[in-house]
Amino acid sequence: MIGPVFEPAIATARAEAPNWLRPKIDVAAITLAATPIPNRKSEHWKYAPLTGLALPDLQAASGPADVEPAPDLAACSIVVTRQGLQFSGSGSGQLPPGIDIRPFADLSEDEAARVLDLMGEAAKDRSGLIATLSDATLGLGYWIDIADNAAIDKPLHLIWQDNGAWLSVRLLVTAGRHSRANIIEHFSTVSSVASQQHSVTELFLSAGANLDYCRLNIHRNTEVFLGGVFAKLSRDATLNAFAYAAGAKSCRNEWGLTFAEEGAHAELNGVYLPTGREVVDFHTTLEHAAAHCTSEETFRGIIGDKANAVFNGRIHIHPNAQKTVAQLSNKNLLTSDQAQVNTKPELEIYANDVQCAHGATVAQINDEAIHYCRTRGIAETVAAQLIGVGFVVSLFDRIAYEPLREWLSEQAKQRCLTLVAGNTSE
Amino acid sequence: MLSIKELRASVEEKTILQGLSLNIAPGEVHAIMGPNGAGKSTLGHVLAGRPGYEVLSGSVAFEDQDLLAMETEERAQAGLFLAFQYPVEIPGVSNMEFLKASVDAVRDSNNLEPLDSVTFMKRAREACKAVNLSIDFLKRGVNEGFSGGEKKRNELMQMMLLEPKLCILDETDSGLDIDALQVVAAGVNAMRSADRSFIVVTHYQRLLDYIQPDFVHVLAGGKIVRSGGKELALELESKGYAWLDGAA
Repeated sequence: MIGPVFEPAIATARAEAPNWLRPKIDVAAITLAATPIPNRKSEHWKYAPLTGLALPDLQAASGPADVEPAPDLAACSIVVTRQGLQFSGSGSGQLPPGIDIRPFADLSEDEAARVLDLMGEAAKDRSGLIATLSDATLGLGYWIDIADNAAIDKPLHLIWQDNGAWLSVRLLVTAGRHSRANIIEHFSTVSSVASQQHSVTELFLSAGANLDYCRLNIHRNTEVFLGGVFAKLSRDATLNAFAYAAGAKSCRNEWGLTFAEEGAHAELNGVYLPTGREVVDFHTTLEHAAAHCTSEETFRGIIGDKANAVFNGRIHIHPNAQKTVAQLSNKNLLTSDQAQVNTKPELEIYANDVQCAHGATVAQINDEAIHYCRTRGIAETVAAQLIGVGFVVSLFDRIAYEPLREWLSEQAKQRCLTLVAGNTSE
Repeated sequence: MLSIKELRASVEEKTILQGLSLNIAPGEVHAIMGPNGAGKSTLGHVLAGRPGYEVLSGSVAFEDQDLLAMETEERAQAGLFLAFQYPVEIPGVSNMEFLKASVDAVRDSNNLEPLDSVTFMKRAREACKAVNLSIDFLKRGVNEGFSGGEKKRNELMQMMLLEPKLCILDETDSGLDIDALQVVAAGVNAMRSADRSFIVVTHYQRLLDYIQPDFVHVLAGGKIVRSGGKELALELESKGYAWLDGAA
């Protein structure tokens, strides 16, 4: 059973959580105690099982490593630690009007009731291990509330940081009717020894809300990350989501988007660039539960060295979700003969008047393209980097916010250099 | 500039070049003609260092350097340029980015600073204009979705920006309409100079109406079987290659 693995985190959660959260923690802890450790026989974990997983010892936590400072994205940057919130970067040091962020511990009784009501609501069709784990270890919880009709240009850049051995965080976002906002959730590795992060984010988009959401997982190879993003879209809501993952020893993210009312639209794009012995795992599920909704999902990855990538993309079209248009594409580039990708698009369609397309490809860097570059004086590694960046760059172009797009493209470019180094010769 | 001696080379264990010799002095334009399968494209690929093309014997000196000992990119950096018969598409990599990487790599090997983006942009625009390509092509992926003629003009644009010493044009005229042919020829003619040489590989005499060669060689069976002035091309045009079999 997996429960005992997380026992210290559950105990910490019980000690630190506000009273109103404790029953939730208890229920989840009981479930967790009865949940087997996912192994190679568990369908949704077979390519990246959790066997051998241990929660790092809090005593062994070594304090901050030589952490790269979070980038200045000209956003409203907030560093979140166990000690609380701290504004950072060139931001004005205050939140733009129309958006509020509050720790669960500070909520009034009414607010707590509302949060409790919402928690798990967006994830309820997938009450799997990730969501249960998040409930059971819920130490650090924040609620972001975006007012109705608020139009917030400056993104909220939320940087989760903890120099302990593990970090369990929960974020709840409620986007008001016809509001517009941009949230960048940023996970990195601060500890210099083994560490673990658990994070579940739930996004509730009210009618006509328009939310940009980006989840950055930029880690060191001592990190194990287990997380998920679950969103519920009301009528005519639009979600533009982006995922980026690189560097962790193991990084699993489950995405679940539910189109609950008509006219909603979501775009979900992702880039993953694992190398070394890293494991990156994306499990995405799009629940088309209402008619006239559209979704476009594109994930691309470059996998180097002995790394392993898993992509499982499921689209579920409910019987009443007529006129759904859903597209799913996953493309992979392997830069070494020991790199691995396991990709599986799944379509489950129960409505008869829908347009659905899906596709997955796996390829190697084209030798002819490398040669062509070399005949123009470009060295082999630079050529491979160019081609690698070219493979994923079109996805970054879909990030509307320019400072993020520029910074992330540059990150990917540097990353591509490591991904192709030494792996290009025949 | 270039001295090829008794070059023998094979592809997939089939010997294509069977003792080819050729000398090119600075400023000269040499046309190489010949029937299909004679080894014309192979010559270009061997000179550019394409993987899979194996040199069995012979030597190639490029400005007193042993060309065959150099890596592909070193040959390019030293001033050798091959305009591909079938240019390669590189999706997602913009033409601009590719050209900048290329020009900077060549400059760097010659101990020159990278061009600043304003100067580079200006030159790239001029090169686009010279080959009659819209500057939008700089933003598009390298050869991505280009028509046959656009790909050939793109090759020429790269050649203009890199300012090589030796340009090898591998059937750059094939698939071009008469207007594009003239654009390509004008581009080549504008680049002709006392210290730049050209090898123009072609099937047809037509290109040579626009690019006047100093020498014409006939390549058949993996070696040069006849050399002459530009009148040789006219003779080939009227008599075909079969005539050579009798003469050789």
